[in-house]
Amino acid sequence: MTSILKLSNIRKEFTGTSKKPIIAIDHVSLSVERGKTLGIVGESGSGKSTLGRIMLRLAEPTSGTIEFNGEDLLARNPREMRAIRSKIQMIFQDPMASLDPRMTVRELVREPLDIHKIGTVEERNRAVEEIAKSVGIAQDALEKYPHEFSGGQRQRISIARAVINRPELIVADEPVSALDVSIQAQILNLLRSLKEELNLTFVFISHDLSVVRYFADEVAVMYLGNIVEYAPTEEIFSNPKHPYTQALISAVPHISTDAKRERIILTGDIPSPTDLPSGCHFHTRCPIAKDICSTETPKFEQVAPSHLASCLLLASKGTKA
Amino acid sequence: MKRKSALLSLLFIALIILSAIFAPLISPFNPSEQFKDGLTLQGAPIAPSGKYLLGTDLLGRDLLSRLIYGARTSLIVGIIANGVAVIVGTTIGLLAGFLRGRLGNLIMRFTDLMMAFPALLLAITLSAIFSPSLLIVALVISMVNWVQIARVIYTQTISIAEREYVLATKGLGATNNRVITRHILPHLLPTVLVYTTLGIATTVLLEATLSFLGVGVRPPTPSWGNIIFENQTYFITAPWLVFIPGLAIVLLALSFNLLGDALRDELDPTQRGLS
Repeated sequence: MTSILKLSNIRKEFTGTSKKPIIAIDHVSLSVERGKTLGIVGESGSGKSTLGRIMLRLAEPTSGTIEFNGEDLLARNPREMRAIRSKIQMIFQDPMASLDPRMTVRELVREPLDIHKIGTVEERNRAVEEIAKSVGIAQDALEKYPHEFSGGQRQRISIARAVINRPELIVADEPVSALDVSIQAQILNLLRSLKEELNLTFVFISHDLSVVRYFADEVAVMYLGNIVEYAPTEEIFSNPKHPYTQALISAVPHISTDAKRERIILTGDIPSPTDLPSGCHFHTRCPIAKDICSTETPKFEQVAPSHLASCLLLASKGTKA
Repeated sequence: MKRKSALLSLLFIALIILSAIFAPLISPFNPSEQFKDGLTLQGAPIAPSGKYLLGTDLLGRDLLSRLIYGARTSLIVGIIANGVAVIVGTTIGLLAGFLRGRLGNLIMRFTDLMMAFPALLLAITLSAIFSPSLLIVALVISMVNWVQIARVIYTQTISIAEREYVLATKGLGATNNRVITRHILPHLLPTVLVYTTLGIATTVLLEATLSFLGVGVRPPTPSWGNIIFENQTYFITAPWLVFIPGLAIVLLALSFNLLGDALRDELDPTQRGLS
């Protein structure tokens, strides 16, 4: 397995009006294997969307490196970067906001081809018609404007736009969270069949664990700009190690008649990234926090085969056992 | 309703433009000629009558002929001055708003400087340096008027450039050029249109002010503005001399406004066919 995208030690600061920078992302390293789907989960404000944008260099990281197909993305000049962008595409959460309201569906879907000057205009139009068919947009809808569609249809338009240029990697930032549950399933199935058909690699960002479970091969859990746990999907759902992941998973509603599941309830809100808690960032809300958690910073290390987590209590258990 | 008023406006504008172009053919008299029977024995202007359809002015010249020729001046100033102001203002505001940062700031501080300078004083100074001609008057007016447009376009550009579809287009690998011309400029168009149509009235009036102060269009060349100012002393005894050219300015400005409104709705796909 070769990795298509590799982030190492990414840090992103935002400097606002106050002197103190907001640290949105820190010490994030991950790699995405070709043909696989990496799910990134976390609650609002955990930095997952910013991380997604950094993958395309739509936001510049403060430090760290990004490798795409072994190439250092941060070393590319704007012109080279534009060429690479045809290989990495993004699907945004709200298709109403991410589609220009003054363009017709045909213009929107054709735009990636127009930008990279691929083929003649007739060929581009034919490609648009083909892709429209495969994502389920009617041919007579091509001359309409985005506001004339429902949310699900609009997201199909964004998807068509993302895949028309045959990208290798798609970063999907909450692609179904703005949609009705019944539509979510359709869009997820569409993404899945496109993934098979076009041999795509996905980074799937979501706050919805059941969606990630359905779609991802591996999952990274983010909290306050750090990855706190990383493991294959089945492993993380059956054997979550980090107390934050455990709390998230216990909060997923599900139907069962047997086992009495303990619901772990986190108190309080996610702390402000301008004023990060000392030690382990999670200690303020952690149900099992000890004194040591507020002073020492946990390392992100292996806790089981291909399963990483950053928790002081896990590490001490690990060394004892 | 909207279409009807837009159509009427278009007709009115066309009428003014045609009469300006064909002024020598349709105007009943020479606009500069002072007629012996153009004044009463007491020396007062003649009210609208059979011979002089709109009456005569303080020097016994035919008002209708002066209005028809004056349309030339007013339209040239309105269209050239306003066009230059809108183009310059939009370009500068758009660039500053898109670039942001140090360069954008520099551009906007210069704009602020221009704004802080009294417009009329600037216009008078400039016309004093260059000997007044129609073109100079138009350019002077546009140098004063681009500033407000630049300000408004600047803030609008900043807000549009932050929208997600702009980010999405950058993510597709689009050049800045494409982002600006395809995804920012079309969204600025409604504002630009409103400013263009509003600007017609402002420029016609500013030209009138300049003419009145003697730094605008030189008499006896008529313009709608200087007809009003020349005759203002007769405001009480011969009100038509002020009201008729005033009405012409108002109607022209109103027509451009209504036309601009309709055009804006027509260009916006989310508004099309609603009214």
